Amino acid sequence: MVMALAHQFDADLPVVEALQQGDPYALDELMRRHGGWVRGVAYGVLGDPSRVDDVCQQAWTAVWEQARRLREPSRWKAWVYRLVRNAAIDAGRDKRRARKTVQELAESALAGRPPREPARPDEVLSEAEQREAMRQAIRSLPAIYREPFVLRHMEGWSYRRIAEVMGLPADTVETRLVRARRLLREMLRGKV
Amino acid sequence: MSMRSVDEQTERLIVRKLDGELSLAEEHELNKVLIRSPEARALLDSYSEQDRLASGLVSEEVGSCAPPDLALVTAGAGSLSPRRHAKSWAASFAAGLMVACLALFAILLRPAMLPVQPNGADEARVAGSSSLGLPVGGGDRFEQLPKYFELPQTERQELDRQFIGVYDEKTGRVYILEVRRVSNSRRLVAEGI
Repeated sequence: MVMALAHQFDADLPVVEALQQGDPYALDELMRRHGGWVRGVAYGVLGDPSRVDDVCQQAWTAVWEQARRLREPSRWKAWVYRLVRNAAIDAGRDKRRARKTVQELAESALAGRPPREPARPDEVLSEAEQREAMRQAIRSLPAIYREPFVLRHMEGWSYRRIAEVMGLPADTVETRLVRARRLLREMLRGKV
Repeated sequence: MSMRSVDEQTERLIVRKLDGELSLAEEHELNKVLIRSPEARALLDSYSEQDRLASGLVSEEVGSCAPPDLALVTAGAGSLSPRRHAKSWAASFAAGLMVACLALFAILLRPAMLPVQPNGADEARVAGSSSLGLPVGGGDRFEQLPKYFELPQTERQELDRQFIGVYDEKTGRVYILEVRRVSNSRRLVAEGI
């Protein structure tokens, strides 16, 4: 019983309700508490760190403007996720990135990778080179795989929590995380 | 070693293990596979190394978690993307059109709602047409009309006011939040013509 109540309790709910009343300090508090994963979602969609700040500011502005229209305050995280994702997609559309289908993105991510032979010892990269290769690989991941991958690695969220925020079944989140790792491995073959 | 030599179920179990999502039964199953399959062990090592590199990098890529400036965010309302501008322009246009229609409607109806005077000239005008040439029907119609409009107005009443203390473990700060419960009720206000 106590566990069930503890599970249902959301410490952010009073803050969200205050936000709905137009309290700017509630927005400030929400940004402090949840700025991290919101940035993660923006990066997950865009794959471009240079645009994360702009997208986040736009998303939080939308949160501030539309808070009164939030009908189910208990589902506020999924609502914020959609606003951030939409802001990021709008920003990405400017560069015509979002026009590529998932298949095209996956193919382009895998294109030009080294052949599937094991690397020779003299080909093994230094730690700094490995990090750079990984950075490029993460940026090249299709957004649908990068989003849960970023939330998992940045926030350490469980599949269930990621699924709840993204509005997906937990099985789908798991499948995407498996494919993200597989794609990264393909891209980094011989480098890491 | 080829990844194809590790079946999909084993790969899924390896990823679940790295993400801390394995149940006891699944862990037992995976351990049995790892003992007999060097390919599965190699895949586990490979994914572990990937995750080690990715964990620090993701935070680095996403950047610091400093929230945007509150003043900028709240001041930024209304100055967003062109699509939002288009939406707000359309909404303003629709609202303006509605107000214009209501005003025209009020102007057209106003002569018909004038109180009936007992003299014959007014009775004749009322029975025939309005000053704008609109048919207005018989005299008894005016008796059914109210002598004033009832306009709804919103009344705001503060019901409850609370202060909530919130402790932020990350920053070690205590925030005091003021929460107000407000009732918005509508009341009717009579306005004579």
